Amino acid sequence: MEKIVIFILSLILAIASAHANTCIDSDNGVSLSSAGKVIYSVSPKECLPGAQCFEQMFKEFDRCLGEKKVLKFSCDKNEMVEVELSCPEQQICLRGKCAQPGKD
Amino acid sequence: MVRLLVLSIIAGISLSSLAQVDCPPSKKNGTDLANELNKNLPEKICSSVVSDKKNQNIETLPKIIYGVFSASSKMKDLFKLLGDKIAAGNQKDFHCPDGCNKSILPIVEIQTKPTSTSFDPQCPKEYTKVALLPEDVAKFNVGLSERGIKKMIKMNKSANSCQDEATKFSQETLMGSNDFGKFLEAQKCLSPCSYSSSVKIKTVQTIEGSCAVEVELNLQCGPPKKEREWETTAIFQQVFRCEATSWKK
Repeated sequence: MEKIVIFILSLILAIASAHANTCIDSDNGVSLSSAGKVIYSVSPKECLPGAQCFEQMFKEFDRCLGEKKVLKFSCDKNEMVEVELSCPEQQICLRGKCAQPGKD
Repeated sequence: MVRLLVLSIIAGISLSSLAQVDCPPSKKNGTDLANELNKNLPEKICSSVVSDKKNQNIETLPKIIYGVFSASSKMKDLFKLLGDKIAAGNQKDFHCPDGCNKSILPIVEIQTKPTSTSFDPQCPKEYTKVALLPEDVAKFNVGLSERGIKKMIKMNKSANSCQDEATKFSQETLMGSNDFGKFLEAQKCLSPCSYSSSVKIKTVQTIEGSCAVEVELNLQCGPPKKEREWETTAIFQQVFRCEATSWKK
């Protein structure tokens, strides 16, 4: 019974890794004080007969959404995640990060 | 004796004039003759694209639009369709001259971009191909292809190693963590503009102990995306060729 469970778990892991999306975050998480970037694929790599494989990749930079809001990109389980955050009091959004006015 | 001599001279003149009539002097030199001979080599006869207009047509497949949750299944369907088209093409018969090998080359191009974007004055309004100068590509040891940039990766390792290296190159380039990527990020597609890239990795050699793959990046720079929804277009073409592989160097 134990062997069957291990086999099924290995199979699930193998399938998951074989069909995983790509997501790489430059600052490994969400930080308001730094401007990062992510690259990600929208779907797993697909191959065709004739030994050619394709992957659709994108790159997004953390960016400002107005004076006080910032759009941050990160990765969670190989999926791109985006979150809209407000800058702390007395800070404004400058080039994808929160900073005190005149200090960037 | 004199009569014999005169007759010999007359006969000689007649024969030489006859020879001139039958074999006019050739205007061809050695090079021309060599070229004519070369035309008959199988390599020359075979190296042709079969002129079947119907088969040469470029087919644009229906555009697919998807979100995060449907991306994988929609893309799978698209590649199933492309795989079926390649399989159907491989069944087609066509004529090649005797001694030539038939070859079918499928050409697939894929482009993906967000369905909606945010306006940013620093970015192109539409996704636009990143243009590189010959000196740029020479500096970073990459090549230019019709659709983007390409790089050949050869290693004395297993096929998977070349695939991994190609993936690493494309990711580092997009991320801006290798020299070429840093150059693109600083000169060609600046923050906060977005990149869209179709990465194609083609295995060109699999001999035990060595591998070679060609990675092609179709890099486009555009405005930042707005929604979590993308659209993909694919074009498909099959080229039917006659080749004399045994004669090729």
